[in-house]
Amino acid sequence: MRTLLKVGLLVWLLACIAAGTLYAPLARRLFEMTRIIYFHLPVAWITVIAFALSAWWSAVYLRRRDLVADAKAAIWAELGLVACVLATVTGAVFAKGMWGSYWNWDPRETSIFLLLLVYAAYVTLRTAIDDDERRASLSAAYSLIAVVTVPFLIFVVPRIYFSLHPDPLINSQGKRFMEARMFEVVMASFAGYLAVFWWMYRIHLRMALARLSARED
Amino acid sequence: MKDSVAVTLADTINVSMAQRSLDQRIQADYVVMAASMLVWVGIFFYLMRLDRKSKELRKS
Repeated sequence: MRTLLKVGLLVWLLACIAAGTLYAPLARRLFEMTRIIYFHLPVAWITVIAFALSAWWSAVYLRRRDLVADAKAAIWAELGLVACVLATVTGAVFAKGMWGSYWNWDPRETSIFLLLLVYAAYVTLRTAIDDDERRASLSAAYSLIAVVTVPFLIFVVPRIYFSLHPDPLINSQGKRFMEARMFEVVMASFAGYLAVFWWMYRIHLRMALARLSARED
Repeated sequence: MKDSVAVTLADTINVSMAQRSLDQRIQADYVVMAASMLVWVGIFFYLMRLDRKSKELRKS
């Protein structure tokens, strides 16, 4: 049954890729660059969700002092970092196609770069401490401080300064500047990639639990 | 000022994209679509393998 679900997920993702090419129209002025949106947007949203979940499990750890909660916080931070790198790379490819260079120090690019540094420091902090309890406490506190920067860097900074980055879905006007079929593909891709990240989380968690029980033995 | 630069750059790139024939564009679309699908099939099998290994690790 579970294998069937996983195969269903693969079929769903392949259908999303096909829909991005065959079903959704190309955005005006973006031409083929439009298709990056179906990957870039979902992974950017998953970044925010993963960092928020990391902060949630960090708070749970500080309340219960449970190392499983700490493991969950670490996994979500790492997955968020992976999603953040993917969003940055695809964003840079889009920038090359649209604005002529991979990196323009646009407010959006600068803020995602800062976010990468913040969470790369989190991962570094975790690898620098050997003691489980101490590592869990310090990284939980760090994660709760780090998550405050997420809405600020993702939603506030790019809206204060002029940015080349298009805002078709989340914008100050509260309107959706996207063709209906494109929006459908974006949302379907988002659901698919979210499922992939959930799957990766489950695999990672199983390994972390095995590691924890091995230490207890 | 910045806006006008961005529009000009985008226009330049889009014009060069539009200059390709429809056949060339469709052919490129299918190549990119097939490559993306292949990458995802690869990722899927890698995750399946990791999934199986993590289950074995948890049991042992």
